[in-house]
Amino acid sequence: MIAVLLSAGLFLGWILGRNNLGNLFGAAVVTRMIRFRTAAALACVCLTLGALIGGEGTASALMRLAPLETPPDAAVVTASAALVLLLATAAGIPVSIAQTALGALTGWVVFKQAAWDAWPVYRIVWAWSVSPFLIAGLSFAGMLLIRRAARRHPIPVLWRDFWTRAGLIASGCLAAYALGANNISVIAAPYLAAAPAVPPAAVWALACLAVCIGCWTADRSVMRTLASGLFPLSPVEACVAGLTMAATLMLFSSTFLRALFVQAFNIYVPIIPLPSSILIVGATIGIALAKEGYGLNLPALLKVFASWILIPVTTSLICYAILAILAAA
Amino acid sequence: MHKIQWNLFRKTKELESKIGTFLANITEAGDVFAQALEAYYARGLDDAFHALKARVSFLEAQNDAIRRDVEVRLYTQMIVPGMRSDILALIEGCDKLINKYEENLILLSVEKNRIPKKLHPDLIMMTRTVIDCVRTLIRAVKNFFDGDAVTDLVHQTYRLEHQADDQAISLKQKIFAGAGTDLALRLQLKDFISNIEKISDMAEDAADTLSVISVKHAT
Repeated sequence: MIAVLLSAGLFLGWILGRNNLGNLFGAAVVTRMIRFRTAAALACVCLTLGALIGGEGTASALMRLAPLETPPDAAVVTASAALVLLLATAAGIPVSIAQTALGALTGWVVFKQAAWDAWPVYRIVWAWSVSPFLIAGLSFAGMLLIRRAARRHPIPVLWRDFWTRAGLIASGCLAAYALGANNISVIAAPYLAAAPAVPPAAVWALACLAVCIGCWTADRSVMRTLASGLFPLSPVEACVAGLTMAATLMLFSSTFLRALFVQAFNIYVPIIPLPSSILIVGATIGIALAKEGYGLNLPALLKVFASWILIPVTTSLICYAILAILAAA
Repeated sequence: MHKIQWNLFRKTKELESKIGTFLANITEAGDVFAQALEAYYARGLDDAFHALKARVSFLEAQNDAIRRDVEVRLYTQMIVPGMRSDILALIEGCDKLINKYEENLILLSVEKNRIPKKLHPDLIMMTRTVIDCVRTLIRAVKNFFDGDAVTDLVHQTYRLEHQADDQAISLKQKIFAGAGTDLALRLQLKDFISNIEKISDMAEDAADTLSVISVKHAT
């Protein structure tokens, strides 16, 4: 029975891995800088390390959001999130596991009429609103710095490729580590909260395994779509996007960085799972602005903005509907 | 992963070295070509001319082998995947220059042109302009691979090509001016001059290719 209930979480993990390989190494694979297998292997290792070393903070933040009670609750929440994730990806809408998880948890809270602490929700809304601007600013500054450095210290053409490749691998690995620390908790958190019979180590291990299998079975055509949909990124631009995504994700995952920011700037940065799709869009906009907006796909951008509201709402409705059907059955 | 990166580092270094040798051979072949022509004007088809011709042929054969090796490396190893076709177009454009050096010397040794002494100084000057044009182009190509600017050198190549054209026209005018020389000889001399001038035209074409590639792949 517990295996059946865990399968919803494993399915969600599989989708996370499948969708995010494109965000992490899409540009590198599409431009043939690295092979698909190399990208998948690196993603697996780094995602797992991130989850095991740094994932606990965001897991706790999610568990405070909704007090899930039983393993079936955890299964319904993760199944709803997985379903919307699958449908949105099939429709070509950039979507993130954190968006669907928030929607599903909201649906559960509303159905159960559970006592809900609004403060975690305010922090999530604040973080999700601020993070795209933060990453856009970092990407914009990063592109200007790289251009200036390239003009002052030109790199030989053949070596430019070598260093770009090294940069893509490094940024992909860092982003994968940060994504593991920030997002894999979305899969593990419901079971950690509602299925105490399952050892936490087993929950984390299964979540990481599911994500790794998702990476290996990622669709190359999805990677191409993600790499060229909103604004086709060159290898150098993909490097910048990867590094800024890693920085932003780590900022919202690391308790060490939180303590540093409080001490240095008196700014409290919540430990919150961030939607990678929002971050990629923010990074892309920042890079496009550094090129004076050239090539930005505005209709696709508007579609993405609309999805940021629609996805959590749709997921909460689906979760509510599933809970209602199960309660009536 | 470090093994993959080390292999790529080594492959990139080898490719860089081969392209460097390729470009150096073209520069050397140009100098040897000019020396071969001057030797021919002075003493005809003697051992010195044949030795210099053999040297150009050797450099041409070496460059053909390097060009094929670079083509294979670019397509089988994952180096500069976004620029392969452009780099190959550039290398093929440069390879035509050394081919033309060799072709001209072979033609000269076969046709045994009789070149009037009064034309020697102008021919030597035109040949040096053509060689300078090619040398400037090769410097521009080296700058491109080093990541430096190429615009000034490309414009200099164009200027030298125009200068070579003017010198060729002036020479042809001298050949066809006045009476007394056999028409067949005049036509043979005209072709000889055109074949040397063609080298600067090829250099200009390669400069055009380089100009487009450098803009396309600017950071």
